[in-house]
Amino acid sequence: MNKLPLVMISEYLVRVRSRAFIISTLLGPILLLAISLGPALLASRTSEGARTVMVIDDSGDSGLFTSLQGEIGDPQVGGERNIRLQLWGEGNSLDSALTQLAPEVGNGNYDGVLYIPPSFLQKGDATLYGSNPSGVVWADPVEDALGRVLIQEHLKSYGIDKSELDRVMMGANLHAEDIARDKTGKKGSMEMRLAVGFVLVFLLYMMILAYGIQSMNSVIEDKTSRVVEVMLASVTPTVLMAGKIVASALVGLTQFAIWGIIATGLIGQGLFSLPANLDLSFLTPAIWLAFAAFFLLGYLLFACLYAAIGALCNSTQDAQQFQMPVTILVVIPMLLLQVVMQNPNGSIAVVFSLIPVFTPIMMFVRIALGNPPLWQIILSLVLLAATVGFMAKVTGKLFRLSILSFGKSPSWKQVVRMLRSPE
Amino acid sequence: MDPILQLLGVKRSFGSIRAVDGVDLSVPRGAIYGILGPNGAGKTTTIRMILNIYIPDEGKILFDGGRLDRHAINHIGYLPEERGLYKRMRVEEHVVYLARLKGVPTAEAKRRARLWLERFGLDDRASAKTDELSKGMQQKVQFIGTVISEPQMVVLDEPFSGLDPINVKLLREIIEEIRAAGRTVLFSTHVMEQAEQICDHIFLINDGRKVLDGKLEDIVENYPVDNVRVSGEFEAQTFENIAAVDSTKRNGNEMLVRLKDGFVAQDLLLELVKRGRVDRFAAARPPLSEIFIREVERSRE
Repeated sequence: MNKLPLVMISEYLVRVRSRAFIISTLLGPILLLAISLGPALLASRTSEGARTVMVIDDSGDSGLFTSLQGEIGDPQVGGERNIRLQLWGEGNSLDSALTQLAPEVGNGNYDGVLYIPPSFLQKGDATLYGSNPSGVVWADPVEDALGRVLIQEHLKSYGIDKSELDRVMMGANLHAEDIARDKTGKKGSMEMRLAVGFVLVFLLYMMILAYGIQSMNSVIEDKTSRVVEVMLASVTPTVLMAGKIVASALVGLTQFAIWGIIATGLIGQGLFSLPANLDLSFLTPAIWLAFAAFFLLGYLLFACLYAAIGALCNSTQDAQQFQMPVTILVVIPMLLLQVVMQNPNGSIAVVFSLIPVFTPIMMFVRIALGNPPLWQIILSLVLLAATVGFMAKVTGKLFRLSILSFGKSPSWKQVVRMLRSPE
Repeated sequence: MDPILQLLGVKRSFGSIRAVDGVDLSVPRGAIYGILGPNGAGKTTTIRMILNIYIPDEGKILFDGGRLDRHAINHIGYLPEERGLYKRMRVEEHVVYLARLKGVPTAEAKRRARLWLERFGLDDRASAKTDELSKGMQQKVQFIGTVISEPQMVVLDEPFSGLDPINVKLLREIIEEIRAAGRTVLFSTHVMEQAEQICDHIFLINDGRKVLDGKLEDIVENYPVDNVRVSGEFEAQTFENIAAVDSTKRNGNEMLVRLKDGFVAQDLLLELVKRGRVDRFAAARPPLSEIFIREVERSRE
């Protein structure tokens, strides 16, 4: 009788029922919502988050402050910029104003003092006085607004009026469209493809990393609870390792399924709506197939490594020294994402997508965003599959040799010796 | 009778350490067989090879006349020295799982689980998670896990270490039952007194090599009755200059006397009554712990 399904089911059930699983399943979407909606919510709370800046206008141009305020926008309405300007009315001596305002800035009544010197219209220099360096970050919009005011003032001096001015100052937007699409297609499909592609890549990365580490923890748990020896009297280490790796993946997929069902339910109930211009037409079965294949192989590759690390160590702390290099291998493609997204068929993208440890994420990015040649896709899959097979063998050996060692976790040297030893 | 288990020239090394260095062992069916030796003698390694957890570098292991493989393992129950349970599993589920892993069908596993849990007074905790149980209860669950598959042979590695007295008694009952059912118990211990009480066969191992094996009675038979315990009224020098005395050792208010070869206990007694008052005088064959030391010494020579 094959014991693998037995181990798998048992591992799966224990994990799915665990408090950690239930909590993370419930908290996941809440966290995701908080991350995606949080900043917007925070930013919309104007009165509290708004910065107040006292402006000492020494430029000698009476209309400058009004223009500046117009550019910054009203914090109650505009929301985004969130900066309120006030005009200092008590004489334009900088020194005396600063002396008076310093305590006000110190106690937080004002976030800064903006000094516009008489030379502003000529040189474009202004100064923001504050009590801490955060002004460098939040005062960005002030700098932008000052720049636009400067242009306006100069154009005004050439006799161009406000409505013409607005036309002159109009910005341009570049929309990327797929050349192969017919004209009736929705607008912005390329941006959407980039966004959805990015979400999928990120998902792939998260799943590989999270479930891989989960199978490591599951092995360590068996070792610390010492149940592992009882298990080994019934099943081979290989079955135990495989059971854990498969179960960890199933647990993760279950979590995704639950989230999917919740999301579909919420959308169905109209409690939550997808962006109107969401265009998922590029998510063809081929893309999903690629996603599934790269997830499966990528996960197996790293889960084997993580499971072997679990067997080598007796606690998650012990595991860190071995875990780090493996985790770095998972992270590297994410660091190169920008480069690959800009040029999905460039030499960096091609090389990295053919290195098996980077293939899952790299090749998938290329498939999602570019159109890599078929031979490269097939070659990368073959290389990856071969590496998975090799890794399963190597890590399986490490697992068998170290699963019953309860002492200090071995050094790298000992691990190498273990790999070389005959079994 | 044909042996249930046979080890033939089994060797196993870890790196440069020879944990088991050429062991032959034959365990008769229905025996309670003790593997005895000091810590580090190779007991656990031997046992792990019997469970197919370690593969011998050399030699052969036969179970029930056949090769020891994945199928044979289903007929061997194992209670390791380092015992553990899945903390997040429920009690009944856990023992059913262990039974299933040994090839017991689900329905039968459940039926047996209920019987055993009831017998050990754990039926009301059947759906508790194992880490909610007291240590003593966890030990009971581990016993059940070992025997629920009704294996032909049960292997117990240092089974009494860490057990509370109630569970020591319980485990001894279980061992008796297994023997009564004609099945075999193999257990390892470094506590010789335990082995003396429980085993009918023993295997002494030291430094990975067999020192001695066979029926406990036969082994002990081979030793003369040369251990004497005496209590009474003596001076320390009372035992000096007695021809029969080889060595003496004080143990509380009694003296442990080892007789010289060729003398019998009576020779000592006759001399002692002349020299002082004898309250208690008991002669016996040496205890297993002493036999072990003597045999190890002899094998070194």
